[in-house]
Amino acid sequence: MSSEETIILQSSDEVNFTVERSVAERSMLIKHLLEDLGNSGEPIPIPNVNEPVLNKVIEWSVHHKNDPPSTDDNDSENNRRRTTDIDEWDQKFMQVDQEMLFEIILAANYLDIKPLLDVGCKTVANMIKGKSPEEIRKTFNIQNDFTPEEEDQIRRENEWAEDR
Amino acid sequence: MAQETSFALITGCSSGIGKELAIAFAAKGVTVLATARRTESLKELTSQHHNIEAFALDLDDLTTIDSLKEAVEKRTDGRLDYLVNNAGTHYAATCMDLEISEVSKLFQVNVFAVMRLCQIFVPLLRRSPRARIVQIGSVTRAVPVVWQGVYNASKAALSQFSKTMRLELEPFGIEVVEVVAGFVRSNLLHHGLVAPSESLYLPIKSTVEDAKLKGNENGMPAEEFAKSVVDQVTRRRTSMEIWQGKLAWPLRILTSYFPLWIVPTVFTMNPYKFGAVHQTHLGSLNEKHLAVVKLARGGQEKAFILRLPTEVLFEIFKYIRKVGSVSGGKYTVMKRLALVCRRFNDIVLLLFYHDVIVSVRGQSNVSLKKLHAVLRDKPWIREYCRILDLSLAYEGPVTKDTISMVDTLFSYLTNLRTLKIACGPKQFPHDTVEMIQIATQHMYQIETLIFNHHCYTSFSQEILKHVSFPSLRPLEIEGLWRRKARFRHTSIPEPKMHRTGTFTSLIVHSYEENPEELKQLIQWPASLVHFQLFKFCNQNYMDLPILGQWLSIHKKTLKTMQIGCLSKESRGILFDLSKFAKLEALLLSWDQLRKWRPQDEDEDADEGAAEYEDEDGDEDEMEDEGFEEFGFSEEDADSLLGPNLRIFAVAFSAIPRTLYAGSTLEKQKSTGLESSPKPQ
Repeated sequence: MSSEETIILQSSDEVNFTVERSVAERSMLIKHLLEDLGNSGEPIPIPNVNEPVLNKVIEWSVHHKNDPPSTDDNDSENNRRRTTDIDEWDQKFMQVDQEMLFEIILAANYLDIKPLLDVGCKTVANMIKGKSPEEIRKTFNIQNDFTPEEEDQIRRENEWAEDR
Repeated sequence: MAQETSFALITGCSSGIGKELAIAFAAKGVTVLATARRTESLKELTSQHHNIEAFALDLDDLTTIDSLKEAVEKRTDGRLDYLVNNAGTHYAATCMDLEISEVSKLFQVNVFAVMRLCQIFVPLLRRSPRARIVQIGSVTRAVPVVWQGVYNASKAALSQFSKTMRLELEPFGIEVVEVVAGFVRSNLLHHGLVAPSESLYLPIKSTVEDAKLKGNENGMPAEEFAKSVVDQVTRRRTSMEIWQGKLAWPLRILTSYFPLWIVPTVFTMNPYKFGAVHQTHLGSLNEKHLAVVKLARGGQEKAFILRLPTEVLFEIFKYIRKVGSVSGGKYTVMKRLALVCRRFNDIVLLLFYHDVIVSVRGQSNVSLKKLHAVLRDKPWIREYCRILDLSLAYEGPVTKDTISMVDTLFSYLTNLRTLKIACGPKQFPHDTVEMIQIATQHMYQIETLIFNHHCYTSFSQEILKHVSFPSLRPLEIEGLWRRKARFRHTSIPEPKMHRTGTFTSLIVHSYEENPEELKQLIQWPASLVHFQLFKFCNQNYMDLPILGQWLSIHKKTLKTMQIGCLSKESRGILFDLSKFAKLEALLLSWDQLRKWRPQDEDEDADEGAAEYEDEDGDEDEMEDEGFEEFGFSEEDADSLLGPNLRIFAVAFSAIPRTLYAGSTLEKQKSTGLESSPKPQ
């Protein structure tokens, strides 16, 4: 068992985190890195994740360290993962401000932590569903960069699609 | 240690980087064969460095490369150690303002000439114990620096060419090194920016020019750049890519980690709206590169969601579509998303056109017309389409107009993987035949074909014999109803079709042709892996043993078998699957399993009870209409349950439509089916 072994992760602002190897290996990027290069004991730099975000990611990884390894299915067939249900702990975990939420998603994407990325994506999907375009823009501070003519054109072009 | 006798051929040495590269190589003791359009421009070099020699080369004219080869061969006795493709030209125009003749000139020098040089000097390089081709590339191979799209494209082309050539030359011991240059002071920009008087970009021309020139001033001095490159290139072992020049390193990180849409967003806005500040993402070349990227985001800096890379947004949108499709409005939710902003719209398009579901209702083909128009006007959307679900007229014949539109639609959708055609009652087979013929001409990649005919459509091998898709896996047929009175064609087995089908899954739902045709259908594919028969709605007698016999030609390949109700009279008659060695999952209908002979008292009830004790409760309720209590003997079990069966399931209601060939039955546990492990 490698439960004794620890890994040092270094955030972009050079804060070190010491974590169990199993926690660090929730990240496929780090897992592969460790498999290829071994653990030198040197801090592993995570160049585009800052301290608060890395802290959150580690918090998640600790809570989920004993999860069964995701059956690496990139097939979209897997229906169960396609629902927007989120486990209660994860829901609480994701109750952060938007900047942090998207930073976590970016970090999960970069570090290749599929289940965390999924939780993030589902959280955002839940924030979007049922909203009108204007409400979506408001929620996410998105500027409407369409001209009224363009908006009309998109409406027209999409008209063929009807929900049966 | 550099070897005294090494030779380096460097193109474009009259000034800038080329000149400094020549000096740096010469300083390492390498004999430099420097080229320039006019050898006089090399006088300074040759007079100050004894080991730099001048050669003429005009890259606009490929024939001069041949004469250069002769000259070099003579000088070096047929060998060369370094070929440094440095010469390059620049063209500072926006994509809207560029002139194709200028583009050709640039590609001639930056790409085609390099290709030719490599080709021609490889025989000389092969004579070197350690040959290297050094390509002077640019970070703009990946960073979309505005106002120089053509240059960027040429460097991207060069990069990909170099990567390929690296593999192809590896067996001959020639290494290909790409120097990914950041910002280096040079006179590439001496022509200034091009913007014709009608240019959309005139209002910002001077600002961009300023930024670029300042960028040039702030770039790494060419001397420093060249020294460092030569240092690395002449090492015994060097990396395949050398990142050098101002910002090269941060840009390497940026290009690997950050989505490049950040920079392009600048130009998706109205040209008059964006200010100079957006142009400085590479212009202000101090250490503030991250701040600069932020500025490029324009007014959207608080829209954190737009920081997500496209693939992540795509995943999110997929979830939203999923929710939408559950609540019955997947197009509605996508239409809303499309209207949020341009970036959303771009991503939604991928999803929107991935599954195209379009119906023609009665005489109204408005939807089809609109879809047709979009695909006609925006050809790039066509390739997004993977699934086409086309429903044609539930009532009345399909009009000529519609048929010809469908034909065009089919010819557009060459990337389609799944084709579902539903036809109404009045359609005659020849319409379908015609459609299938067109589909086979254009849609080579079809993997799933679904026919869905609504009541009383005559339909049979007439159509099926035209089905020929090389990658077809599942074939799904629903509602083959024979209109007995009108179409009395005898369905003589087509010997040609016997075991020729490439598909491996067969799904048949509500099959109303006669049993003989079902037999042919089953025996059409060369080998069948998944078989589903939802229901046999025919008046004819059909039982499991007959079906088992027909299926037995696939006994070595069949993995899953799902069979619904057959004839009423054949209930309780089981079949022998002990020879189906690969069979892993078997689903049968509860009604088909139960014997329907009320006078026969429950003789073998005890044996079966143990296997289905969970269902005792249900069984009591179903004890009606003269079904006898369910049970089967050990012999029945032995023959029914093949040697490798892992899942045996019983459907208590109609077999759900969602069942799909290839999926294991496990997934359906929750949909009203019960499965039990294989009895010993």
